Amino acid sequence: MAVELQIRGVSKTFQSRSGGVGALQDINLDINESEFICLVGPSGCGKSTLLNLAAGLEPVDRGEIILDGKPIDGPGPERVVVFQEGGLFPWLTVHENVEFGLKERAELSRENRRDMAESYLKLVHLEKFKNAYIHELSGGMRQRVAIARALVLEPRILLMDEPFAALDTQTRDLLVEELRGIHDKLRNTILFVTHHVREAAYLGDRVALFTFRPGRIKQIFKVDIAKPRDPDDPKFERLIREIVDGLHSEVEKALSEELKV
Amino acid sequence: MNPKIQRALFYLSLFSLWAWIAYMKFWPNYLFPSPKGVLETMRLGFADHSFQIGIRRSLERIAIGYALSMAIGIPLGLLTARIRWLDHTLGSLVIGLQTLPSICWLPAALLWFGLTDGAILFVVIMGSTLAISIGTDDAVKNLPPIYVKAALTMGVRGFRLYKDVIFPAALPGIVSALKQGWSFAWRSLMAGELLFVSPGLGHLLQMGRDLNDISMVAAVMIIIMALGWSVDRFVFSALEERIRYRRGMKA
Repeated sequence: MAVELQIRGVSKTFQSRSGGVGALQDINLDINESEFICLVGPSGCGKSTLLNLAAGLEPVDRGEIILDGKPIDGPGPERVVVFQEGGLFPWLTVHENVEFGLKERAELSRENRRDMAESYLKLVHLEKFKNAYIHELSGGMRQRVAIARALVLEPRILLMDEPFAALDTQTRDLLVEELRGIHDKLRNTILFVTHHVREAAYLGDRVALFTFRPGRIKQIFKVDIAKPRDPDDPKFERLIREIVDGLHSEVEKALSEELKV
Repeated sequence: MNPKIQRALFYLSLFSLWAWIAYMKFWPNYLFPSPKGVLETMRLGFADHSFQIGIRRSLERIAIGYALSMAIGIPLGLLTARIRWLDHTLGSLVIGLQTLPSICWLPAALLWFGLTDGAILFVVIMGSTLAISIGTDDAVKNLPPIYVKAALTMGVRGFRLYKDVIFPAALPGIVSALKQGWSFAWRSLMAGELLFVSPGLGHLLQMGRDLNDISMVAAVMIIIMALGWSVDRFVFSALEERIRYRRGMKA
């Protein structure tokens, strides 16, 4: 398998979502073509920051991130991001949202664009809602639009930043299963950030566990279980327990730091 | 009670109070206008077309002045909101100038443009451009950063980032800025027209004073208010409502 994205000695200090200052320290990770890789860790560990760095939305302090042999410099459509929520444009319809990025590609005719947008809307089962506005959709439908809008650009790597974290459990399970099906069909490379271990173990070919401040990769779990994975498979259960054990000690570190004022 | 009925009753009582005060003659007729006198002046003013001409000239001026203000104010606000060095330089100047009441520009405008429409237009533009620019700047600065981030990762940048992302995202705020700019423009226009002789509503108002005709003054004031209110209600509020509805911002 060819290496597609290389993260080489990347360090970064950042403002974490919870308000503190965190740091990523010397991250090294090679992501292969068609691989589904999940990043898990306690909040504040910098997993989302690493995704932003790969997206080119923020510069690295040290090290470099290389896509297909070229160091990345700024954001670009070959590394589209699906955000947790709110990334869709409320002034456009579902179809216009999905078509939005395609307008950057001058070689596509209006018909090409429309057909591509429709085929991806079909992929996420939203072709009936193409003329709806975003506020008319449920949270789960919105995330499916966001996925279609990203995939239609045929990115080299899809970056997903806790895309299902704001959804209720049933919707989340449904979308996780849909995403698995999409990855199975399209075989695109996906970097997926989550704090949900079960989700990571279900979807990932590999799961990278992060330490709490400074954020480092503590361990990488290779998931050698054929997909779709059976949640009752003892091998699967064992893997989850292993990851959760590793995560717990980091969460405890995070908690003790938060409580120490 | 139905708000429409509430409003109707309120204006009816106000009108009755006015009629009653006029009837009681607390002040002489040439100081306090009676409803009858005002209605009669309205009738005459519209019959000899002097009011229509005044309204048309004022609306023409504000259409040109306001269009120019939008054309300058919106891009200016978009740029100062996004480009830091412009914000520090031009942005601070805009805020400084905004503290100057627009009518203070009239003496300079008269020196530069002479007794022409150009001078009034200048005052209107100085009055509303800055308000539009500051409101636009605010609207863009208050945008959630995620829209721009999402657009950047889809490869959108440069002019299209402004045209297709920042502008529509900030549109609700920009419409508020335009609404405020409109009221500044309308006030500046009236002030400008009051102060020098050229047909228009402000001029009619001044003429009422020169003729010692309080009914005319009151009639023109009512027209000015009604026009300003109509634009606010039927253009801006309608636009705001439509945008809110489309984006689901309305409960």
